[in-house]
Formats: sequence, structure tokens, C-alpha cells
Amino acid sequence: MSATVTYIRTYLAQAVIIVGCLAMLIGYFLVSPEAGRVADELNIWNMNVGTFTLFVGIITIFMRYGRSIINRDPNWLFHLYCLVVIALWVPFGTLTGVYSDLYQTLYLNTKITLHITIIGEMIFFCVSAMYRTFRIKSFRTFVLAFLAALMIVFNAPWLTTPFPQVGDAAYWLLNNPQMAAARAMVICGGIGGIILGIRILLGLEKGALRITGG
Amino acid sequence: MTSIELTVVEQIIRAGRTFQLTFMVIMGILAFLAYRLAKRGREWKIKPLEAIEMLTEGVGRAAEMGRPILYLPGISGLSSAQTMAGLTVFGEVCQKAAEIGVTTHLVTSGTDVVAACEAIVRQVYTTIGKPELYQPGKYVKWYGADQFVYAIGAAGHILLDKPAFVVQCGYFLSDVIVAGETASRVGAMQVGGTADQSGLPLMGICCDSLLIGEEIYAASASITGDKLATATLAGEDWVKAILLLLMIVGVLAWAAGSKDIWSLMGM
Amino acid sequence: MAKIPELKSQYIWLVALILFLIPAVNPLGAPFAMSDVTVKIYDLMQSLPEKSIVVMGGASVFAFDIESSPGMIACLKQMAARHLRLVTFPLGTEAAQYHKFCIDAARVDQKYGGPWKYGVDYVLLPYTPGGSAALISFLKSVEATVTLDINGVPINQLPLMRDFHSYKDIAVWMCPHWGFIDIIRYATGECGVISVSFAQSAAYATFSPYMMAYPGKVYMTNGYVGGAQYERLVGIKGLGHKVVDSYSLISVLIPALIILGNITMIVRMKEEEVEAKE
Repeated sequence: MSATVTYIRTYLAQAVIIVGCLAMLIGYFLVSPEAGRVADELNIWNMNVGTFTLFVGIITIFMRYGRSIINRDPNWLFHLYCLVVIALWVPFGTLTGVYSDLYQTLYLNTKITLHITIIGEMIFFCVSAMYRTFRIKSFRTFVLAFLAALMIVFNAPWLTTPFPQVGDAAYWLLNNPQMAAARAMVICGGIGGIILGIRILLGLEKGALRITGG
Repeated sequence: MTSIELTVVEQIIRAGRTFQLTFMVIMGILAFLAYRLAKRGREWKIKPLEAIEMLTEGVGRAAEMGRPILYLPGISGLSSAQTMAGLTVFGEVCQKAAEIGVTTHLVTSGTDVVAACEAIVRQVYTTIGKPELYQPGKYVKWYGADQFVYAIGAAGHILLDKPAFVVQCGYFLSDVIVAGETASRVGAMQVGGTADQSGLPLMGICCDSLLIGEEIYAASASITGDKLATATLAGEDWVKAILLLLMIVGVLAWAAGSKDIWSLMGM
Repeated sequence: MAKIPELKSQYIWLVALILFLIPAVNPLGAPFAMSDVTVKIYDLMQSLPEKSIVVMGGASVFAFDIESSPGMIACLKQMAARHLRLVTFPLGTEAAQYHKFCIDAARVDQKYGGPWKYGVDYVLLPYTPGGSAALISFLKSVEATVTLDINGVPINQLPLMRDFHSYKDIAVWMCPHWGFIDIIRYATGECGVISVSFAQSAAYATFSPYMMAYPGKVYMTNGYVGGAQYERLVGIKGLGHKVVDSYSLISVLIPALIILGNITMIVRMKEEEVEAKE
């Protein structure tokens, strides 16, 4: 019985992927009102699923943190604090409206401030990582360190103002060699993604198959 | 082509998408052709990727130091191809580690990825014959769906757990520097991989080895040792060769004043 | 040669913090050059006929989008002065908050003494889930995608929305978010709508291939410096100007640390060679 269930789960997943994929591809590439209607319907379902996943996160966090509070796991007090804040915040947002000035003020002064703090600390991490990483041990590392320092300096306002050519050089570097590499990555990444999709359809992608127990 | 044939094509295929469709069909055919050739015994060898070899080295390091491994699959969900590639690599790392008694933890931001990874871990322990070691919630951690909530959660986890080996493979943006720098501070060996060009430089300054761009898709194919999956990489290379040829011809044609290649690709 | 110890990360962070605090306490007024692309964006907005509809929309993270806010706020002031109209279309939960933040910060609403009246000159639409699917649907038919504004008022009761039905009514799409690539793909690539981004500097390199691929259709500024440039064009001094000072100092620190790190490494290598010989 379990073998049948595993078989159905594996091939049902692949069948759903193939049907969805074909519908989207046909709707995108071919002039087909029927396929277009199917693609529109799938888009609407996609939006519905997207809305649903908003709640999955809340349910997951309550289940996990609830379990850790009951079991008094390490840091359970932080989990309790998190659940209390969620439980108070949701009715508050519902009552005042998420676009009200009061909600906006509270949101900006709590969540966004914390978020900006985290993003702000990134520069400190970047600076210390650059100090540690850009060590010139070979020609390749010399080129890497030189170009990194060049790009930072070339974007420095104190240098680009008296010497506009420096800014032009920085933009040339960004818009030519860097862009060539970026385009290569995007193109190859896109091709790789499509080939990965073909591997999933062929049942060769072990990661996907493990999920369905195949 | 005559005007009648053009009209027929335009009636079937949406304007401006003929080339895209043709190219996609060619890609599918080449990938499938490579797969069929592999089924008939043809073998393709790929260049050894340093980062994949470091995965084995990292697992060994974790075993020697008696510390766990931490895997970070990125900030996207299962809809991202990079996350799917990352999960394949995670499965292999988790299995290699479990076979020698090393614990692999995973921190993710996507709730769908949590469910997928729990299934992978359960499958791994069943495969190695130790299903009793699997406990839901023990290996897969979720600290929040937000990008930086996840990053801070991962950083906190690294400081508490002090893993010997950290793998970051999936879709990352600038959050990668938070976990990466924290892992450097605890002395962890790091391997990273992403196809996103904004996360890649930051990953490069904290990881010991990198999978750049589509190497993560190649890694997901080759790490399992599956010849059929590796064969699809040959199909990918054929596609790239065709694109390269098209680019060279297009550049030369443009330089010569011809827009035919440009018009062809805009069809 | 004296042994140079490896700098601990905490000391580097302390130096960086001090350099950030200096301009906060004593603004330096560091100069910056103007970029051609920023001027083009400004001229584009100046050339739009009055009552043109500009959409501000996309999906990203509020805290990241702060970097786009100097340029966006300056642009909103310009739009209000030019009697252009604005519709926001957030594709992320925080994007809705961000749009409201920008409009409030720009002080363009009549309650702050500005010229804009809600419903006539600007409309805030609520977050629409679905990502690209929602965007495609919005470009095809606004009424089919969104029925109410953020206050719950049916959009057909808002004067501005009676003139806005699909992508054909959009003059420019502004995307001060990381999700600019989706906007380029669907709004510019498929529908031919001009799109502009006050891009974060980390995103500039990612977006620049698209700017090259759609000349005359895709524009973007570069980080806080781009925001400062746009502020200068509009004639205000905001967050962009303040950040340029910090840019100037940190851009000296990082190369100095790279040089210091390499000196430390060379000294250590020489000492290890000497010790090996002994």
C-alpha cells in the first residue's frame, strides 16, 4: 500500500507539474484563447495560493513556538514574547487599519527600525570581510583586490567631483566588463534553470524526488 | 518566407515569441537527446568542481571536530530553481554526514522549504537504516519568513551551535554576509553557491569555495553521481555553444550593418 | 620588522562606526558629480503632459528601499509640482507601507500644504498577492485586479481611477524596489511602458544589463548618490545629501583596510620565512 502511495505521490506531482507547465507555456507562446483562459485561471490560483501562504507562516510559527513554550525549550521566553506581540499586533492592525497614521508610526518605529539596523550592520560585516579576504597571494587575487578597491574608490564622491573621468571609468567598468559577466551569468543561470526543470520532469532530480518519497 | 506563411505563423505563435519558443524546443530536444545517449551507455565527464570536493572535505572536518554542519538553502521557496538545486545538494550532504554520525542542521525562511527539508531528512535517515534518529523540528529550523529575520536567526544559530562546516547554496541576496561573516567568526569552513549576481560578491568574500551561477545546477546534477542527470549538463553545454555561435555571428553581422540576426531573435 | 597583529573585526567595526558618526555630528557637505542618466530621468518627468498617470509599484523590502527614498521623495515633489497623477501598486506587503511613507515624507498631500488631493491626484492601492501574476493581471486590466483602494473605497468612485484602465494609460512606471526586473519584463518588455528605478547601489549592477537592453525605455539612478543627484535637480536637500558624506569617508576606509591587510600578510610571510630558515 505504501509503495502505491509513494508511486502515486511521485507521479501525481510530476503530472501536475507537466500540466501546469504546458498550460503556462501554451498560454505564453501560442495564440490560443483556450490556453490563455487556462493560463489566466492558473494565474488566479497562483494568486490564491500566494494569499494562503500568508497564513501558513503564522500557523507554522504558532505551532513551533507553542511547542517550545510548552516544553520549556531554551529561549522559550523569546518565543512567548514573539507570540504575544503577534497576538496583539494583528487585532491592533485590524482595528486601526494597516494604512492608518498610527499603524504606520508604530510600524516604522519598531519593525522597520530593527530591519534597518540589521541592514546597517551589514556594512560593518562587509568591511571586516574585505579586510580579511582581499589578500594578494597570486595574480588572480591581485586582479580581484585591485578591481574591488578601484570600484569603491571610483564611486567615491570626493574623487568623481574633481575628476569626472574617474566616474566615467567606473561606469565603463560597470557597463562593459561587469555587464558582460552579469549577462553571462543570467543567460547561463536561465538555461541551467530550464535544464533543471527538464531534469525534474524526467524524474532525475533527486532533491525533488526525496520530497515525494521517491 | 512569403507573406502568407508569416501570417500563418503569427496566427499560431504570439508576436515576438517565435524565436523564444523555437529555442526552448531546441533546448528540450538537446537535453533529452543527451539523456537518451546516456541511457545507451554514453558517459560524460564534467570538470571537477572544487566546491563539490570541499563538501566531502567539510563533512570530514565536522566529523573530526565533533561539531555539526549547518546548511542554508537561501531565502526563496520551492518555486525557485536555485532552491531546488540547493535541496539536492542538501540531501547529499545530509546523507554523507548522517552515514558518519554527523548532524546536519538547516535554517530556512520558507515554510514550504521546511516541509520539503523535513521530508528529505526523514528520507535520509530511513535510507541509512536509522529512522529512529529522525525527530521533526530537530534538524530543520525556521526563525521567520523575512529575509533578514532568517539571516539573523541563522547567525544566532551559528553562534550557539558553532558548526564546523557551513554550506550556503540557493537563492541569496545581501543577507548572505550576515550568516557568512558570523560563520567566519566561529571558524567554520564555508562553501557557497548562488546564481544571483547580487549575492555572489558577498558570498565570495566570506566563503572558502564558491559555486558560481549555473554551477549550482551542475552541482545538483553531478553530486548524486547519477550519469543520466550529468548527461543533461551535456545538453546544456550544447545549448550554450549554439548561443555562443549565434552571438558571434550576430556581432559580426551587426558590425557589417546587417540586422537580420537581431530581427530573427526578435521574432 | 615589527610584528603587525591581525586586526580584530571589532576594532574595524569601531573605526567604521566613528567614520559614520562624524558626518552625522558635523555634516561635511561632500561634493558629488551629476550623472547623465539622472538628468535624463528628470527631463523625462518634466516632459510628461499634465495629468499623466505615473504608477509607483513593485515588491521588495522596506528597509532596503530606504536607499531609494531620497530619489523617490524628490521625484514625488517634482510630480506634484508638474501636476502629474500617481497610482501606487504594491506587490509586497511592505511596499504598501513604503509608498505611504514616501508620499507622507514628500509632503505633497493637501493636509501638509501640498497640491495633491487623494482620489483626484493620487490613489493608494492595497497589496495584491501573486507577484508576477498580479502584475500581468494589473497591466491587462486594472479593474479586474483591484476593486478597492487601501481605505476600502471602490476604485470606480475615485476620479483618478476612472481614467486608468490598463497599461495603455501609464506614462511611466516607477519602481523604487528590488523587484524592478519583473517590472522591466512585463511592463516594459511586454507592454512598452517606460520604467524608472531609483535603484539601490547593490542592485545597480544587476539591473544595468536591462537598462542597456531597453535604451530609452529603462532608466535608473545609482543608490544614495543617485538620490542626492535627483534631490539637487529638484532643489531640495534630503537624506541623499547626508549619506554622501558617509560614502566619502567609508570609500577611503575600505581601500586603506585592504592595503593594511596585505601589509600584515606580507610581514607575516617574511617572518615565517625567517623562522623557517632558523
